Amino acid sequence: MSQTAEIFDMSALPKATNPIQRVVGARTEHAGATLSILPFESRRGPDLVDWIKATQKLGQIARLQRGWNGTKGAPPDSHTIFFAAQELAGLEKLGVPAPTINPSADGAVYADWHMMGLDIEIIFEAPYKVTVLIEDARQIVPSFAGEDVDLKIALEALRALCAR
Amino acid sequence: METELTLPSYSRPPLDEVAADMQFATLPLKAADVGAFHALIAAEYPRTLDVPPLPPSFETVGPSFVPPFGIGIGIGADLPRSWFISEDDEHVVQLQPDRLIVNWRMRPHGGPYPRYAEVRRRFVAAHEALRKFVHQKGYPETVPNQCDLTYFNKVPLPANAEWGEIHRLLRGMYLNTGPEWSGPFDNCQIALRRALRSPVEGAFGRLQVECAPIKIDVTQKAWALNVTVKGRPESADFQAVLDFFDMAHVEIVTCFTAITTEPMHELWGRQR
Repeated sequence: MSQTAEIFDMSALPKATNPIQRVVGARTEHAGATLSILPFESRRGPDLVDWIKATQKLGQIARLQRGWNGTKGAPPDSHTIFFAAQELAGLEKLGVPAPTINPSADGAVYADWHMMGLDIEIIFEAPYKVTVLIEDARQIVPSFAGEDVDLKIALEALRALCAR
Repeated sequence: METELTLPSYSRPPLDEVAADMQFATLPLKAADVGAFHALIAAEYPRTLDVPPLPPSFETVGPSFVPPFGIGIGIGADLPRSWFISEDDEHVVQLQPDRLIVNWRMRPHGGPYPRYAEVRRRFVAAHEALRKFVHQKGYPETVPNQCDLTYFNKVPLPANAEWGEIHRLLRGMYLNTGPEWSGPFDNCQIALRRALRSPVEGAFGRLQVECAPIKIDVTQKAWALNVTVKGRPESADFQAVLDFFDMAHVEIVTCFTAITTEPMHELWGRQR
């Protein structure tokens, strides 16, 4: 029997205090593969370089200091940035093109898509406090402005964007 | 706890560790503060150890469940995660600027699992110490935004079993092949997830089961079977955190029994 042995990072393990359990087996995609996250039908796939840039931008935002905008700009706290990163990583897995990422002076993180006549903004104000703004120049996707903590409404708009 | 009397119970559960974890909005802790916090719990947890901090983590209701991007973000002033360890080495309180974790762990010559009620009691006591400490320092109150309860099990393989025979541990997991191909699998890893929605707007949790082959020592093969309930408490009150843990405890214990096989239940001495 040939068996590959390696340490596998099970997600709950870092908070265990007993010695790391030696796990045997091949490293796999970490349990993301369920039917619910099959990629959107898309005319163009996500551009990896754009997503890398978005990731780098989040890292830059994480290092902002108070007054970063030359006035009284508040830096987003690390929990807001991690929450945004986790949700955006989910979008990347779905095949969504990378958004433009920007901080706001009140400490929120903005993820914007402005393409193919669709304007979609997801505003991460704090963990589980998410506002979404949608405008469609073609008036196919309904306009929306409001809370969308589970991103259901944003996802429908992004699905439409991917199909254009 | 009343519910504990109605839940499945085992005289020899394969439990290796339990962790109750509360994540909260980051406190402006300084390195010197750690000693002041320790002074409040040193009678029960005299020993200390520093380990790297854990990054923030959120169970999201969004499109998928994937690890976040690898962005380097400092937590607090890059303070370590401090462990405060009981004299018998079985109980640990972990503190970092945005987390309080209380663990029970099986030790080689230690006692049996003291049950959830004891883990909960220790969490309440550790939180009370944190509350006092925050008040003394004039820091803002902790605002919980995520909590989780995890049961880490180590199940030694039954006689003549191999890692791939996962059906001996988990119900309905027989890895049967068609006639075109034969032979056993060497091993397998399984991750199962289930959303737990609360009637309260915004609250959310997810139950997660992870099963993987491990070696307990050089010769002893085992399965790691870790069950976690993680999510957002219904409010920022501490009572909501305890309510979350209580709900998580029921979900984990009933899930554990529901997914594991009856021969294993016999091996673990199922009492009800």
